[in-house]
Amino acid sequence: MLFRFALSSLKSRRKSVLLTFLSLLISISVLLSVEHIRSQAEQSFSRTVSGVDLIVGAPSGQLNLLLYSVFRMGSPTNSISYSSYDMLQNHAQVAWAVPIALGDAHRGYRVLGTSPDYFTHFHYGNKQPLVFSSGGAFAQPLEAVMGADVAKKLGYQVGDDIVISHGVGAVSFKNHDDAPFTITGILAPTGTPVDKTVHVSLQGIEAMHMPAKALRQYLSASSETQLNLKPKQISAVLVGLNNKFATFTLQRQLNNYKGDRLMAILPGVALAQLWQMMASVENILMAISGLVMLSSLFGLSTMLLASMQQREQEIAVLRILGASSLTLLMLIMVEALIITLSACLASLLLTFGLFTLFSDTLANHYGLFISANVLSPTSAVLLAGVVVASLLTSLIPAIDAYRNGLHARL
Amino acid sequence: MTAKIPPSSPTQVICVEHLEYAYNKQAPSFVLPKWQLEKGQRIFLHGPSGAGKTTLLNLLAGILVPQQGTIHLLDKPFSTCRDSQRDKLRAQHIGVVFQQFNLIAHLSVLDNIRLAAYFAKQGKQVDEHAFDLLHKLQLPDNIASQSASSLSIGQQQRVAIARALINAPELLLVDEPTSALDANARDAFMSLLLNLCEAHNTTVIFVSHDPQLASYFSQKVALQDLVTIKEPNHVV
Repeated sequence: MLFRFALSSLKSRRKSVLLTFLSLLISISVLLSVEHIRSQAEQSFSRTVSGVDLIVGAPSGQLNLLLYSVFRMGSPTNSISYSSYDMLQNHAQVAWAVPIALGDAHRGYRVLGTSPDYFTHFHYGNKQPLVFSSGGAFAQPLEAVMGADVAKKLGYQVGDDIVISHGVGAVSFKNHDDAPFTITGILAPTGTPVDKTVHVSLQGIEAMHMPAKALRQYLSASSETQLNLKPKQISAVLVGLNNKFATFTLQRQLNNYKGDRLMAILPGVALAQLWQMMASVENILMAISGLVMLSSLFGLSTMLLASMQQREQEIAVLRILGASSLTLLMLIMVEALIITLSACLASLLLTFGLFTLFSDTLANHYGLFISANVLSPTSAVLLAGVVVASLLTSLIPAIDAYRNGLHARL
Repeated sequence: MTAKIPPSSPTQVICVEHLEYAYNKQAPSFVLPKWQLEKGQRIFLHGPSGAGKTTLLNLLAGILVPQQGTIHLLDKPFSTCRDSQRDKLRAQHIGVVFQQFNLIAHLSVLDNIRLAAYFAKQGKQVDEHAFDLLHKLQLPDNIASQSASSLSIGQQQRVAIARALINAPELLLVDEPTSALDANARDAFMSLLLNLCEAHNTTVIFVSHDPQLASYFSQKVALQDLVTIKEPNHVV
């Protein structure tokens, strides 16, 4: 009966109730989204690369190297010579080394030149290997392997031909039309930037940049000659070690390497540093959304408080019918609870909908892979906090109702 | 002090002794030495405005608590018991009809009546009983689902009677219920009210300053005869 009374009372003031509801809906949604992006970004970042012990590139910053080699963001400021890759491959401590060459794109998706070893050695998440959903790794220079999202978005299948453009923009004025690539395989989704990448061989990258005449010559050569084509420069090398304890020793050796200017970073350390940078921004966002939340809770309390004046008559009637002052206090709390709970529920639906809609945009532009499932222990704790806070702020009008109840007269 | 528990059902509905009440220390106090009402008595209480009619009703309904003296309701202490106990006794044993605005505007007629039963913790057959009362008050059945604010004032006052009587209270307090009604509606209202109260053997205290209504009652009490207003003592 109390619940029905509260519901009917809210309906009779539907305009101010609706506005309060909307303000709560927005602030709870902001709070949930920030928290959700925070936890998801952390997960998505830390699962991007696994099983790689060192990333070796040209000296810049470790974040820059990490961003372009793993997240496909930004551009390599400098290259390293191919001989450094040879050196790494022949190093006693090195179990495997995979070269990476960046700088081209296909319809906005980054193109990664690498060796077929990439598909066996690059891991993500909890040491999960890359899996082909169809086809297999490239064997010839002008063959390509598609990330899951690229294939899905552009509707590619194994056997299709694609043309790669120079530069990393979505629109390019220079297409390498003479050297079309044939798709040999499509990777299963990983939830990492791999999904957004077009993988080709180093030889392919080298070949498509050749002048037309040299390219014709190269393509008519035997496949052995073709595969022996070695680029002069590459962007970075992913390295796996035989013995993890050698990581720091090798890092120091590489940083002091005389034959080339090299920088070696530990992906885990760089990720942690990246995460720390993000964390301070997130803390600010979290604090702001907390304040927004607080102000709409005060709005709720103000709305209920303003209604108390119209309700003096009602309170007198309730007292006469035998309602205790405590019942009146509860009644206001129930009203606050109804509004807050429905706002919580609605904002769960809203954020779910928004993340479903915009997960692609977030992944394309920011490399953030956010799942639409906003339900998590943290969001449950947040929502519980919102409900408790709404009960606390609604105590102000509720105590007013209690006092009115004590002083109500016929 | 131990409470006296009567052996049989009480015939004394209300018993006021040595009552004194003042709104604050500077205000004149309202003094009622002794007043008793038996079951089934119907009293017309009249007096000029300012004589303390509303104060008396508030005290009898347990909304105000006297600073001195006691009120017993059905031989149970009413003014000296705990607040929650008083609220419960009021819900179960006292019905009230005001001048106006008796109903919760946003609830339906039926929910208004149910609300009274809810506070009295009377779960059983409330709807049946409510429709029965609405019938006796010559209100159509379909009025039950209408919102209280859509009714005419005459209808609202009749619904107020139904709500006041839903818990079959021993005491009904009525405060100028016809002040907003025209003569025809007033007569219809009075006879419906008194017939119902007679049928239920309800004690009625009917407060009005309208002498025309006195004819409906055999017992008339002037408030001035009952109550003295004492000016506050100015202690230096």
